[in-house]
Amino acid sequence: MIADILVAGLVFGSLYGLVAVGFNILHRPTNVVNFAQGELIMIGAMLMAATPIGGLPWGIAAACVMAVVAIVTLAEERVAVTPVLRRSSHAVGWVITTLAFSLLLAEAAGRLWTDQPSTVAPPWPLSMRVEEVLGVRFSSYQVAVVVIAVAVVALLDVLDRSRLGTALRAVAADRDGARLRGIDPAALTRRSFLLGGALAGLTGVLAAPLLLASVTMGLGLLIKGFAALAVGGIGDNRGVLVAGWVLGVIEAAGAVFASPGSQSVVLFAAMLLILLIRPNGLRGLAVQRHV
Amino acid sequence: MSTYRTNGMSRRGFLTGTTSVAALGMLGLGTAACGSSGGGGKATARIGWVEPKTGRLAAAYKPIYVGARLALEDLKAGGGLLGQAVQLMEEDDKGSPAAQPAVAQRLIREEPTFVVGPTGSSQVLASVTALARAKLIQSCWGGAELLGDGDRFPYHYQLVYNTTQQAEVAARFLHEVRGLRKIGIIVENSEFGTSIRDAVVRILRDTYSAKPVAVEVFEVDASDMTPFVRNLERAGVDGLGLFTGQPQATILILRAMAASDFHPVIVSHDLNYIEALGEFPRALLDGFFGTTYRGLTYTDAEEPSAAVHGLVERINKHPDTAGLGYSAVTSPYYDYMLLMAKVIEETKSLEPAKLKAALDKVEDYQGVRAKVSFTAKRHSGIAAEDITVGTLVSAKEPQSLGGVLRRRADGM
Amino acid sequence: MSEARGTRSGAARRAAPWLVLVAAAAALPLLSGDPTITYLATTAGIYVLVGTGLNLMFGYTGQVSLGQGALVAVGAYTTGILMADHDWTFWAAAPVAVLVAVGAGTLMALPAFRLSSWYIALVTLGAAMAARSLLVEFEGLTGGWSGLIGIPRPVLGPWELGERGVFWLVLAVNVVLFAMVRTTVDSRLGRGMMAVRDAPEMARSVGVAPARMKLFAFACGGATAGLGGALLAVHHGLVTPDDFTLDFSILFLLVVIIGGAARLVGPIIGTLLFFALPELLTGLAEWRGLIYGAALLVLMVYAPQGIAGEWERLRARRRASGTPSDAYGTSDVSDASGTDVPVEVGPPRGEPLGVELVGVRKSFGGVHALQGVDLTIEPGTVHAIVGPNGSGKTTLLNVISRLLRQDGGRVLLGTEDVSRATAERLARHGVARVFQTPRLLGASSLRDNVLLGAYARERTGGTATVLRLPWARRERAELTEEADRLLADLGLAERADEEAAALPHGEQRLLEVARALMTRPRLLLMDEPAAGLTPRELESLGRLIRAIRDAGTTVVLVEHHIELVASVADVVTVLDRGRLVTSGSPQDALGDARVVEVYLGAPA
Repeated sequence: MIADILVAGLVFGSLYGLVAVGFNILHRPTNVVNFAQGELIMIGAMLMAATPIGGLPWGIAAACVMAVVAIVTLAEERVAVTPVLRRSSHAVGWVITTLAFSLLLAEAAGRLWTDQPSTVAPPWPLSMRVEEVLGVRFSSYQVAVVVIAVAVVALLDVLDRSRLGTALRAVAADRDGARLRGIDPAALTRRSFLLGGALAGLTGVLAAPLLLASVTMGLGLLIKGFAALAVGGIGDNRGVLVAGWVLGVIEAAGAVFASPGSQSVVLFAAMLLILLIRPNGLRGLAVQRHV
Repeated sequence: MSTYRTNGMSRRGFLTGTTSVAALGMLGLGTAACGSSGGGGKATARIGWVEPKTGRLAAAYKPIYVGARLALEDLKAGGGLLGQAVQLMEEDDKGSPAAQPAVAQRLIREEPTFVVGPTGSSQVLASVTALARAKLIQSCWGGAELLGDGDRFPYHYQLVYNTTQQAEVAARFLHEVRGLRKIGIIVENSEFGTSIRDAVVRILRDTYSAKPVAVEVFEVDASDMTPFVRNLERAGVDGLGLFTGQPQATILILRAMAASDFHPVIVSHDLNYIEALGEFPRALLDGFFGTTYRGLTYTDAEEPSAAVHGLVERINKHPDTAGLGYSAVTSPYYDYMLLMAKVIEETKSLEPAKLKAALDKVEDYQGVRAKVSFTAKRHSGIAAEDITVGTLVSAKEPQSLGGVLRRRADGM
Repeated sequence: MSEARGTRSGAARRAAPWLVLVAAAAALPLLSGDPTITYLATTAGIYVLVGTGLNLMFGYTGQVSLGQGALVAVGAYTTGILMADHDWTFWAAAPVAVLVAVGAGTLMALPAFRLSSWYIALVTLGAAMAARSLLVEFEGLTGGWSGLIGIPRPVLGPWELGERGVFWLVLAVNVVLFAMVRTTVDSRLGRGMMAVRDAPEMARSVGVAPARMKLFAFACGGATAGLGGALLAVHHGLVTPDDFTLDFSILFLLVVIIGGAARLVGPIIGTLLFFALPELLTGLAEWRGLIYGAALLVLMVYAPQGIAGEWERLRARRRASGTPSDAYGTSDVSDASGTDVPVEVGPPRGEPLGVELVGVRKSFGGVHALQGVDLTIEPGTVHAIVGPNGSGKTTLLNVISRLLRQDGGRVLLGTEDVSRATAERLARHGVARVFQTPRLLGASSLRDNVLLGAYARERTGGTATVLRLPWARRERAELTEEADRLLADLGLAERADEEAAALPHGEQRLLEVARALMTRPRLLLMDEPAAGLTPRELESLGRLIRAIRDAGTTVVLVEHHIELVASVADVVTVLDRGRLVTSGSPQDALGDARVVEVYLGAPA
């Protein structure tokens, strides 16, 4: 029982964590929380499930999906983020524009595909077949999802320490100041959106076999991603992955022990509690600025 | 794969709804400003039509209105209603319950002879409540028992089986026909899910003096069904009532069952066969049944009627069907349109009050799916004996006419 | 905040368009005779109501709420349960609904004490989802998924209000609320809210307690949402969980932002547009969704401050290009500030305050910013604190003003130990602060910025302010006059109505000083006021500081500019790496060999 909860929690938590990592990548150079992230992930999953791309060998298909979603995300940056930030970097217009972009994606998806959920087979040699090892039941694909999530975060950590990461931090701290130091915030923003988009595509590809690809899958992931982001701490990739796991486990436990109506209440209460104890996220990395 | 969406806001419609909340009704503003809408004079017979045209439910709900569109073609070919041209007043509800009051207001102004739709339990409850005072004849696809209460909603006529009827058939099939004693229930957390759960529990208790061994309720956006299925398995469930409007939930539940070789007899309320079902072992699918209408089923000895044959052929040809022939043919709107046409011809009137009087006396009207009867009090029209159980895998048999009809389960 | 100048003469003229608008709205159902119009107008009115509350929370106080719909649900369900199940009248149920919603809003605000704005947004989103599940979970009370039906209309004496009646009720509530909000944002409270939004630390330094302000804002948002919910319940006659989806919550944020956050008319414009936009797209049937999304996008890109914001901007631009005053106005102003007109500084609120620091330590992570500083600042002096970058000057100032809490040691203000006091409490003792980088209400007028300084002085309570009672108006008039005098003294009189953000840097600093003087401080803490000033401005700053001291205020001056320090300071303290190097008269301290070493020869 406990093992089942932990497995489900880790696997789905990894997905939530990846969604939140996507928020982070886009947030850093722009201070924008991308409300369209859920729909971008949906597009990734649907490309895999309902287009000829899905027929390609898995590796190539995943790369294609990531590329397409990255381009869509770049389009979002061009039409919905940069124009707003250019006009006023402190305004909150981006809430509306990213929401509007998400609406556009959802409408377009509804036009292209029906709402039938589709399954996507995991790549060879992984499978969804459940094995039992020492009383713990899991499939090889579930293990792979957790491993990939950890790898993504580790990779981003490496990237973070590179020059690009330093430049990103500079832009995040002071967009105009960075420009004076020879960093081009616009180019960095574009790169971040490409990267974040590719990650959204990957998240969709990873989620498709587990959650089923459907045009309606975006919202749930968006909300859980928000929760992971809040608990883990905006800007902290490791934190949000851990937060994703924590929330995943709480959710799985809630499904077993709590009544259905109280599940989201349990999840919310847990989130609130963690935030009240650690207002800057699980690892409390957020920098406090002073006068 | 949608019969009725039981919850307008679940995985879908985040923003869609945002627009709809206000958006919809506002369509009214302009027309209202123009003064007279919808052609003014009495030369046309107007039919109100509520269907999601935009939003993410639009594509999924299209097949549900195919039957009604076919009936409309027939009406027009036959010279309209009482010789008057038929005018469709289409309203987009975006599949949102919150949009219904505004849509209702607009319908009231258009003064149609009768109203088709909306679809979806929650949407219907909102719509019927909003139209209750308007005295507009209406039929929707919503299974709540309340909707068939002629005292409560005197102008709404229910041409689908209600949750109690559905629960009766499901319980009879599992308990009586298949002789299963460890019955479990798994439903989504929604208006539909919770009411059919209560109905099944009640019927098991009252009719069979039995109790379900496990009752599971899941959130509509639950990503993992394993814990619920595990609970069912632990309780030793051999017969399961599975009621959800979310196709992905059904697939995820089946997947959790396949993972542990847990193969109970399942009665669902949705028999659409979708591609995603292909991954499951035959043993699991063979035990998957669903409630349906007798007229849409066949056995080795019994063929569906010629009318059904004809309708299925036309449905299959219609572009809106999009592979969801089962949804299209189970939809109440074809029978409803034909019934209204008949009643209008008989009363020679387009007056809602006169039509209501006639509808309240309809007895054993033979629809393509089932017999329909109404009284002033009972507006739940489907005859109990015409509700039955079909098999899912029969969608692959040639007799299903391209996966639209279903084989009746043995003993039903 | 162009509405902010509500005073006598022009009031009637300015109110005229509103009266016309309200009259037109009130006549709408009579003219059209179409129940649909009445229905829609009522719905729109309720949205405006809730949007106005959210505008107070979000637009003015900067608290993003994605959970406003949940508060509306609380109001609607409370009303529904009381009226349908317990036969209460609307007039009794609505106030209870408001109270319950205020409670819920306050509860939602609790995390706001500790979290920054977007965390709160996520928390409120979670709250909205949790609230919806609770509606279903407490089936016995709420009717579960079927909700509550049969909620009667309000009864007024012998009449039951019809659809029109409910509409007029909503309209009347809106008019009253609008007037109240208008007064509120134009008062001490409103300025406090905007200070919390724009510069929380500055807010505390003028005596605004951000936590209380946020709580107040959430309570206001809760109250309007609760009232909106109550009206919605009787308007629809039923409440179901499906009415209160996530998008219903987000709708209000959308309305406020599209209309123009922190603009009184924002929610009205936003709601009307929200109702009108889809109407314009009717003919497009299935493409409406796509076009609607695109329209939102384009609108926000080209009008990031919302429609009202864009309108103001255009008007401001037209005004600017219409009159050439701007060009010569600038030079005129700097001329004025350079003149020898002595600044008339009002008397402080009491005796000058001295400060005593005993062994004050403060470190950030591993960095020891202050390592046991003992310092006495005599009342009525100008006390300068100098030292190289990173020597702990600003930290010292922050500890004195209580924006930072020391790790060890004691801080005495006069004779009172304030080691545990908060910054906002200090402001009430007569401590004022000028920040290193100007912290202003950028979108407010200069006058409002100065008036903010009087926050801790104003006597009028919230109720009196909102109801515009005579003494509230009198106090307001007096303070406005005082603020105008200060602005005139600093040569900013002509720009009193302009946006603070439009001022050049040097004048923004002067404005900071004006705000600080408006508190009538007994102790004034200035952090590098000279940075970025022209020689001419420097000169007048020196005069100003002396004038302030002469009027009976202790001045603590953190400054790099040695000439200024030498010319105005009575005592100079030199800090280096968190330690006190020396303290004495300017000649002694600045001439000290160690100080020269600190500045010139110290190993880095």
